[in-house]
Amino acid sequence: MDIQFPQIIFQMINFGLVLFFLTRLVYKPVLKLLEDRKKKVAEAAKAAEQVLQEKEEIEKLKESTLLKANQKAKKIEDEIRKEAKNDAKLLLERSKEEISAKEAKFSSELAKLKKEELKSMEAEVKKAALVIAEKVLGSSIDGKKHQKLIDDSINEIIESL
Amino acid sequence: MSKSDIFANLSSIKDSDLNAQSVSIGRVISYADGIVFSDELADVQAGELVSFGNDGYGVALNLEKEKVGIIVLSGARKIKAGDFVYRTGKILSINVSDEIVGRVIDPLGVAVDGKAAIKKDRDMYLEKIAPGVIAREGVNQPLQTGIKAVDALIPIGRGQRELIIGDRNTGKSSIALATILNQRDKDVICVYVAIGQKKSTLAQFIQTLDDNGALAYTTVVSASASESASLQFLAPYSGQAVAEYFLDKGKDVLVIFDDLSKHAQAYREISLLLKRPSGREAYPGDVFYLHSRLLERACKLNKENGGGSITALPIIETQANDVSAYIPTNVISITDGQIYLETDLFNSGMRPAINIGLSVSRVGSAAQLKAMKQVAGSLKLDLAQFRELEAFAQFSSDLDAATKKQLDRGKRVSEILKQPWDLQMSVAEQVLMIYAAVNGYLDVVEVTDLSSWETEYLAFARNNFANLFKTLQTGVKIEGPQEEDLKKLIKEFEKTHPRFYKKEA
Amino acid sequence: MLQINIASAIALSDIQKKKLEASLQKKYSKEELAFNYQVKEELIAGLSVSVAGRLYDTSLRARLNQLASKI
Repeated sequence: MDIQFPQIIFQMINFGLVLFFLTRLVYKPVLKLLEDRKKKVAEAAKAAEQVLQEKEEIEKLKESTLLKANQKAKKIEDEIRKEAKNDAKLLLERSKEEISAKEAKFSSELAKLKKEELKSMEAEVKKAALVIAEKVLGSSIDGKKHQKLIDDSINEIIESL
Repeated sequence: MSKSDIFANLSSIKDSDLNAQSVSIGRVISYADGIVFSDELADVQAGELVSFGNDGYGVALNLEKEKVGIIVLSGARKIKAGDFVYRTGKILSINVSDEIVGRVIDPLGVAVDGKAAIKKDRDMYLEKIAPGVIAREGVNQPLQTGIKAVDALIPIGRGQRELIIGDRNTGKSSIALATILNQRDKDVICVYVAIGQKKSTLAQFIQTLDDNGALAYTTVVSASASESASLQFLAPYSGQAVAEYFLDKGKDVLVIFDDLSKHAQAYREISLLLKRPSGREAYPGDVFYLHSRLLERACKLNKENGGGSITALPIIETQANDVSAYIPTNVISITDGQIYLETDLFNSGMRPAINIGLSVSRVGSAAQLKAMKQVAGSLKLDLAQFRELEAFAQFSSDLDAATKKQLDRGKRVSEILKQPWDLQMSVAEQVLMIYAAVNGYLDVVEVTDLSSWETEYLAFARNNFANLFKTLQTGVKIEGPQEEDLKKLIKEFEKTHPRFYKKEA
Repeated sequence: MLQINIASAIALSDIQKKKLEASLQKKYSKEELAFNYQVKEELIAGLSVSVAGRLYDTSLRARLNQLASKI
């Protein structure tokens, strides 16, 4: 094999050029890409850790709030129960008072009604008496009585003239 | 009441003596429009009750040589030409008893409120001669209406006649209603005579009285618009007769005639149908006597005659604010003062719409409580000065400080005189409010806040200064210690209610 | 001329009429009288005479009315 010196130099320069261009065009971007990827992965890992931490805090908050709410609810429930009992007692007392007041009112009104009824009955009795008198007299007068009454009337009138 | 008592007088049948007597009669020669002309009826008296048989009654008003003019009161449908007209020998009267309080009756004394018939006690004549001068006494007791503007500036005394005059829809009946509502627990019996009103209005009025517990001491005499002119003509006299029943027992009575304009119109209708000659505005010649004989019966009697009183509040409706028309001038000259209501004031929000300048009470402070007299003197002055300056109110930015202060004071004083019809103020409440207003304690409060200021102030005074409240309620003169209390009350109120006293930056 | 109205429960006989007219004529001797006879059943019995603004009512109806007003 003949090793030609210019060929070697040419090859060396060629190689150098290729190396130069590779480094610039391929080597560096690829490295950069790898770096970027590494960075991204690191960030993602950090974010994931943060999220995990927040989740834990939220869980803790949730538990404490729930506990407080439960306590409050229980307190309100107790108060409501107490109030309801009180109200029921008051209502009972008040209705008892109302009933006795109504009783008094009713008995006085009843007495008044009775009095009015008796009075109106009096008027009815008077009317009935008159109607009866009319009927009895009207039907009991026959021809002879009529004549007698008319004669009597004429005499009375002549007198009072 | 046992049964034997009620039926006792039925046995008087045994003792009655039935004989033929001759009765004076006439025959109906013409009947139209509620007027019957009858011939004969030779010895009938003027104003006598006559009977047409079948529960028909009338009053003989026109006694002439050939015929008698009779106005029909009841049984109008059954009268026929040629029917007999019988004298009853009785002058027109109405039967009144203690049970009439709380009832609604017609001018003949018959109950129209659907409840039981009214017990009979005394027959009171509808036409009566007013008590003489010797039997009377000067008006010296106040009649509290519960309305600040009236009780402070136009005070009404028991036994006075005070006319309420104004156009339609100015609140005349509301003032009357407020006065009745304020007479609760004051031992005053009220009679409300409704002449020619709509039945719906009257029903609402009675419902309001009942809801506020006022019907228990009020009698309502009703001759509404669908009743005959004869009943409308008699209604005020019936109301007066009911009032006189209680006057004779030494009570204080308040009578309200709502309204006398319709009364004069009913009388005009009757007079024209009776063919009496007509005068100014077609009213008959004696329309002044119609009202003067009615209103003169309102009086204050001296102790020897029972010490009772009748206070009359007649109401007159003017047309277009014309107080110089015939009937308004007549009644103004009869009454002891008037409360003049104006439409402009009403529409601009001033209710009660009383024109303080034109309203007057001729009895005045003789019938006013001492405490009220003290605070009201300066009130009138403030209002009068405000009225003079009111025309400049539009230029309020260009005025000097003194005028502006006067205007502000006047605005606030006018504002506190506004009052809703259903709010009655007692003497103490009125004195408190007016004292605060005339002494400048309201000058720092906004005009629009004044009504809430009033409510809270009075509640505060009632709760925390109960003694002062009670003293003021008696109406005695405000002396040093009470004034101190008043000032203290206001200062404390200012401290505890700062929201009214925000200063502008 | 004076109008006299006589109302009775049943028709009057001539004798009765003559008797009435005679006494009325005696009372109002100066006037000329015109008699008007009517039969009104609601009087029940008896008769009523109205003359010159006066009524003489002796019928049973009138007596019952009197009774009614008394009690």
